[in-house]
Amino acid sequence: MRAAAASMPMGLRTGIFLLSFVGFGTKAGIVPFHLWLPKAHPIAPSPVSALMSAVMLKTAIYGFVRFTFDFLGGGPAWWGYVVLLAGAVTGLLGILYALTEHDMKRLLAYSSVENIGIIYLGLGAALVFMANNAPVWATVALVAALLHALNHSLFKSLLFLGAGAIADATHTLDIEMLGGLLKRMRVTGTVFLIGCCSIIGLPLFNGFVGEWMLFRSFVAGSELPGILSAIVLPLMAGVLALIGGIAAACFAKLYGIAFLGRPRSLDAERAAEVAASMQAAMALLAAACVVIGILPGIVLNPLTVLARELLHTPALPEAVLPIAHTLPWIAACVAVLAIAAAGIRRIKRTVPTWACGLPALNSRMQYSSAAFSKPLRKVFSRVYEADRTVEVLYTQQPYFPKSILYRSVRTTSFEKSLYRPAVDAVVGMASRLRRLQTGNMQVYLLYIFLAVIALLVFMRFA
Amino acid sequence: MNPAIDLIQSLLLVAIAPLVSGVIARLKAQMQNRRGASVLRPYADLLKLFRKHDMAPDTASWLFRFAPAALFAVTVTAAAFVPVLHASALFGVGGDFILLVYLLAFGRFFLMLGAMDGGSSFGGLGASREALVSALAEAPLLLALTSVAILTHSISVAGIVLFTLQQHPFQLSAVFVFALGALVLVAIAETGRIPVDNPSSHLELTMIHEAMVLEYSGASLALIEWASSIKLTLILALLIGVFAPWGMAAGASLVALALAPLFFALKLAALTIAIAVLESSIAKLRMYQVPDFLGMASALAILAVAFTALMR
Repeated sequence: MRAAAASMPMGLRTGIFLLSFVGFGTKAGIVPFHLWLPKAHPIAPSPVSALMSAVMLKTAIYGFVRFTFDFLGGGPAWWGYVVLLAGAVTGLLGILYALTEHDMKRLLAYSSVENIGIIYLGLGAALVFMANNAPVWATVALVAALLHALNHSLFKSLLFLGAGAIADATHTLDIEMLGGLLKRMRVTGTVFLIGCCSIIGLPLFNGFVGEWMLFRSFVAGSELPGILSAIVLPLMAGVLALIGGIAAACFAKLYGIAFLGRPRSLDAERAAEVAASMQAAMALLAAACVVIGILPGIVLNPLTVLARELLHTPALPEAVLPIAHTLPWIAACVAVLAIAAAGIRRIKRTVPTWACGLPALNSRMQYSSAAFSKPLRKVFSRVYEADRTVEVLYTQQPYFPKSILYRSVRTTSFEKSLYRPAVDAVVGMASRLRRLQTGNMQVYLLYIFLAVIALLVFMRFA
Repeated sequence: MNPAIDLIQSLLLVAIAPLVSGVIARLKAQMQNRRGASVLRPYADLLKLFRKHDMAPDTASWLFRFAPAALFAVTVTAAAFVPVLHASALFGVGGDFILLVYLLAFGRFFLMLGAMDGGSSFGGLGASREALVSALAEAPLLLALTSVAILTHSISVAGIVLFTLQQHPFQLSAVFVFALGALVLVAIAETGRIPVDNPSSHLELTMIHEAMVLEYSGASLALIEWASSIKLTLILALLIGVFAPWGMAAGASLVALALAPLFFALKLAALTIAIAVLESSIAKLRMYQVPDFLGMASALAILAVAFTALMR
């Protein structure tokens, strides 16, 4: 196939690229082909959701890498910009949609969309580097994409299994009904925290290593001769940082609301730790996240061999090597300081939370998930165009309503703006064609007769 | 180069951090016609807090007491990235700006979680606002540092400082102007100063950082306060190092090394005066004007990056 691809005309190669981009992109869930993903992933049982995010999405990445890098061997720079743009839009919209979700598994599914966006940023950068004859940096970007794909499968499986454990313990995935779970499910809570730290790319966890390599390759984009790539690639570092910043807000919300503070329902209050086998599965994944985060060399080396074989490049540039040596030292430094700081001798006391002098606080006085994400939703209101309804039920006095119901629904959707018109057009045309179907036998015989005449005429002159 | 010098300058940064906070508070007080507390007051406060009972809400988990320790640990580690007296750092080669930005994000994430563990509405309020500011501040911070890294051909903080140090002050690229503008705006947001956040405010409508630490007391509070002042000093040292490192020692010359603290103190004093003047003369922005403020920082940072390509 490689040999055949090399002798193909450019138009055919472009066609193959675009079709594989859309085809595998639909499977991977890039915007606007992501519609199915947040609907399909949360429905499955949690271990299956974990597999869907960890393995099935990656098969699409594998297919796209095989077609674009292996069979076609890269292409003109605009292929790379198309992939970069898809990655940037997918990453930003994915995390912005995730931010508004209150259902744990739907939030995680949208976050998968975001992570696929980050992987596509790496693939796009690799294509741009290849087109600009910088194969060494293309290797770095490709390794970054592959590494992030591997990391995503680890931490997303961990988080989906964690969501499964929560569903098992509390019978709900609505984080507005949870809270205080870290105290009741210590192991699940701790490993879920490791998953959250990994997914937002904090140093010493695996998510950071892939994003670091991606940042490094974007900075190296400034060395390319073309003015466009020298501006676009470094600016992508800003896009990745914005995605990372919103992801941090999103997962602070998820973890803070579900695991910290006071329980918001009786089910959450009565939650108990799940079976040891479930804990062990999550702990294994969490351990992998931490080990890769501190000693990235163990996965970087095999991935580099893989990427170099795909791109036929000699070795990684010197500039990316220090990170693997620095992270263990950073880890040691942070660990020693944190242990020292946590070990300071002090008299610990447990007291009720200060309630401004009132008798006691209850769980409804805490910030809710909707309240937490409100500032960011307001800033990005153009993305959501939320439809808000407020229903206030008064008793007698106008200042003390009995209940307030607030609902805010996102009204923007690709389903409505992109797919619905296309579906409507097809259905409309079909209903117009239905006029042919009169229900009159003679008319149908006339159709057959006319068809036979037409065929005879066609055969006579063809 | 010399690990002993690097260790000393990192420790110096950690040690003088409360003094910087004290000086700013004193200068502000004097500008507002008050006498103000001694500049050493933050040290006394820390000492007092370390001796006091460390109280945790009954709803809180282990994370509540761990969060301040984690915040302190990553902030001190980040301090080992920034040259102060000598153009090198403990994490010299590997201590790049991406790692620095994400180490600060690490601390912020744990502080947000610790705040939400308190179980009151204030913690969530502070964390939610902090999430807004930090989500929008990360991109301009990283982009501005990217533009500087591109110009200096180095991603490590010490490398950037060393390169600038070897340039003539008036030969710097115009990119530095944009990058400086972006970084100053982000630094204000990152360190929670006016006009983004008021460090001395306890008003529900305005507080960000103070709302997050409301439930903390004793040693935990001391660690958080110390970490915040380290972060402030670290960012000031970063601004000095990246944009005006002259006077810093580069070789092994003892004379240069002896003069370096003097230069650093002068530049730090200038920055603290600037902060005090700024905080005394302008009002805090409304919460929803902060995104515009950070949007301006982002625009400057994008210009800085674009100009690195256009001006080469």
